[in-house]
Amino acid sequence: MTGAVQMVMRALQEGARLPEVVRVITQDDINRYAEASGDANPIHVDEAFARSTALGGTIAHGLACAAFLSEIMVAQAGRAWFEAGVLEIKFVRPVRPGDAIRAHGRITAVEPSDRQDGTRRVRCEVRCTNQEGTDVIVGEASYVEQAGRPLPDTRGAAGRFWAAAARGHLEVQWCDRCQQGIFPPRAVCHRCGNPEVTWREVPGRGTVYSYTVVRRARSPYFQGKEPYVVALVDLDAGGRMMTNLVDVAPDQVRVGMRVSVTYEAVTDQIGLPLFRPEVDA
Amino acid sequence: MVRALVTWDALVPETVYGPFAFAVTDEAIRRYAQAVQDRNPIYYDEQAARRAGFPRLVAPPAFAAVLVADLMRRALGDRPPGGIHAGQRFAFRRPVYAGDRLETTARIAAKYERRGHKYVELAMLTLNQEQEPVLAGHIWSIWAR
Repeated sequence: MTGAVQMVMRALQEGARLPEVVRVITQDDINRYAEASGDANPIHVDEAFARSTALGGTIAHGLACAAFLSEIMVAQAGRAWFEAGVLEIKFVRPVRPGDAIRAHGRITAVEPSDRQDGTRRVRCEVRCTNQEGTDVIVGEASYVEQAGRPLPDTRGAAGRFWAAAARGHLEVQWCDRCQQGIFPPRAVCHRCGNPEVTWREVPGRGTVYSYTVVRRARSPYFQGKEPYVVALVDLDAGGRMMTNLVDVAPDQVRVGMRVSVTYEAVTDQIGLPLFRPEVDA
Repeated sequence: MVRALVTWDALVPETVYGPFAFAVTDEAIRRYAQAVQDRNPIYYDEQAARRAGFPRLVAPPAFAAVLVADLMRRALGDRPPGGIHAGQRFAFRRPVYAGDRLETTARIAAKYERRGHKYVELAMLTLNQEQEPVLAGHIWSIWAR
């Protein structure tokens, strides 16, 4: 494949608001939470005791309200929150029975994750605010976005190649002097230096030049899809293409094997030419 | 039976507690999800969880709060009533499922006084039955006077 392989960026923008929820908390809710969580601190459930303290009455469990923040992060991030979510919060004001708590937030940064695999960490400012607009919890939530398939960069000459594949055509550059295809796309013919390269659709047939079987994928998208075959295919029309072999068991692949193209449509502008064993007509 | 209350002065930094075993049940997950008013069906219905790509009934990530409460009770025993939860950090690593047998260990990461309050910071790590980390956390707690 040609060009830098990048993740396709999802619309995660700084400043974008997270989903929100509003929940009213009653003493019944607090009691139910005490039972479900096993935290029966009398400051939450014993009204006489709570009145005797500086708080002057019962308060909700801080973590019960933190659950609302986790809920909005599940809505925002899905499974990524379960697997790579980090929530760090301070409980800054008590929540009292009858309070209506709004859990909300916004994206503050989208930056490369420390996994070095093209995934990004999304940082969010999160808060729980009561009916008076006062913050009761403030903090940060972050997660590593779920990996999509790594996709090619469509800028420059290569864009035409990926767009043609999205329509089910294999188009490569062509040199009229050599009467051969050119791949990957480039400014001049790599054989004769001809700067007058054109594009043409070519038959999607070729021969396996070499291959490897991936049994442990590093990219999260491919994890769980192993084993799979990465191959170099020499096109009959000219040019050598890196691709995946599909519809074949890895141990059936051979150098010199005849293959024909098939396509995985990804977006309107990107199709991925993949190859499978040629079926004898 | 009356037990002596654990005092702040008796806590020693770097003391390790646990591992404490915790068996996750369908019932505990459902009861927790109800208590936090989260209606997502993946916490109530195994089929819904499967449709969402989970192998079994899954716990809300914030179910970690149940592990925190269990840890605090078992590690620090009977504390004077009225302590306040001041801060919390959770790093979720893997989903927690019904049927999981979890083990949590904790360490007193720090204790300090600030603005007249006595703080304890606990660091916790929870593993599942495959010894995979599911959760790492920090708890900042104000000791009741």
